[in-house]
Amino acid sequence: MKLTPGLRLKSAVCDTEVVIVRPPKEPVTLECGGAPMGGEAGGAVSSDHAGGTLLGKRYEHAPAGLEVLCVKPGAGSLSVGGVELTLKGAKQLPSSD
Amino acid sequence: MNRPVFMDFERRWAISGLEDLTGHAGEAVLPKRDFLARLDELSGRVEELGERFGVALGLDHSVFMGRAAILGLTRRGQTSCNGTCRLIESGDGWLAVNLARPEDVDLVPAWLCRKGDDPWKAIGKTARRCSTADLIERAAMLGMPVAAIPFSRHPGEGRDPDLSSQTRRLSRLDPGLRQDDGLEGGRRPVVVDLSSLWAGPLCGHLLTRIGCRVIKVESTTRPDGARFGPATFFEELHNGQEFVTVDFATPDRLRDLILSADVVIEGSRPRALRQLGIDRDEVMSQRPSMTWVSITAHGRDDARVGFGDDAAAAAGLLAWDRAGRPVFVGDAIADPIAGLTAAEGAMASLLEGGGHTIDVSLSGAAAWVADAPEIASW
Repeated sequence: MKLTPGLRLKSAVCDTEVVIVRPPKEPVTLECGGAPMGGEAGGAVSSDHAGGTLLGKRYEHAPAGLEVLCVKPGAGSLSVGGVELTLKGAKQLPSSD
Repeated sequence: MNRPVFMDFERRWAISGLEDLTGHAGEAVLPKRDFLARLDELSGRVEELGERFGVALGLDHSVFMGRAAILGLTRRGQTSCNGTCRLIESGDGWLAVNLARPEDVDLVPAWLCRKGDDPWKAIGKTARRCSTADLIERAAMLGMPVAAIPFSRHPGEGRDPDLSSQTRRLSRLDPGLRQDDGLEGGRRPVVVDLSSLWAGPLCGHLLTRIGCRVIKVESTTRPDGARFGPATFFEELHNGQEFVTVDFATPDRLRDLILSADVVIEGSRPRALRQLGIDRDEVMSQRPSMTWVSITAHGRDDARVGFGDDAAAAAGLLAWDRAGRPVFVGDAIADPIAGLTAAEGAMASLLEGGGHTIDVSLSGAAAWVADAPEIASW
């Protein structure tokens, strides 16, 4: 599946939903709870990928250039090729609004 | 009979400084409603409460226009004075889009489902082909400060968005209840201010001026963004306050500070505070005489984010040019309106001995100003 900006993906094994913010430079498979996202629902969260996702947080896989935003939290954690995505910090405030 | 009314308004509008901040760069645009009367009414109410504390606050129009003066900002039509917010035409109405933070710019391709080099070009092109409702829903999902303008492009066409969640919910307090006014003889109320930017700090500033001890609390990793703006503005708002930085990742110190306060000012979504282990209801059950001032973009039960310009637009606090296009009124004007509204509620609550939540939303406070009486026409 091609990961394009704005694409919304559901986890196959938990409640997690993400939106692609920055697409990867090369095609990759995004997993949640150890299972490819966007696939047919079923199965359980792998114990190796059970860290969970947080609503409104952004996660990135720097080597692939991939960044996603969690729009629905769940029990599984996000990974690409088994490597967990890292959580990005809170948005800095603007200097004026 | 109507003529002098309009001329009087035109003159007041020009003198207030709002004329310089409302309309296209080359042409001022006058609003159809007397927003200025509402701004004056609001400052007047805060002024009166200040007198109950024995302080003449001397509020003039600089409370609304002072930041623009410091920054040298002027009107830019459909772009906000500070440049980050724009009024954008959708397929069925108008939106205010505020790309206030670098992350908001990053999110544009995800919002519109298209790649593009120039975010504003992409927004202008795509929004035309989409409905306001769809654009708002996707922006809310992504946490972007985007709001619908509560007017359809042509009168009678389309439907205004539901503003019921944005109504003004400041507790209505009777300031005539207590006779022993002011803070003299009593302990100085302690205010813990967790807020940032303009609205919350303005409330903290006014509470400092009536004699409260105000402690400004900032996260060690995420200081008040206004620190990176003009120093004079930040210093004016925080003059006479104490500063504390707290690691929000280990929030015990934050909790202790909050529990020691008579007044808490915060500008966070309830979810964000709960993630730090701070729950308003729980804190107030431990400290029933506390005054909790909550400042949000669109209300405590609305998770959408927002800043001063997009919140003002969401409230309809705009002017319309001769071609029927909306333009911004003032500089992030929902911020000082909300700050004064919050201060009014906090001061009234202090006079009553506390125990209130002052629930102020930027768009709700601005909606009261936007709802000003129409100016009699020529």
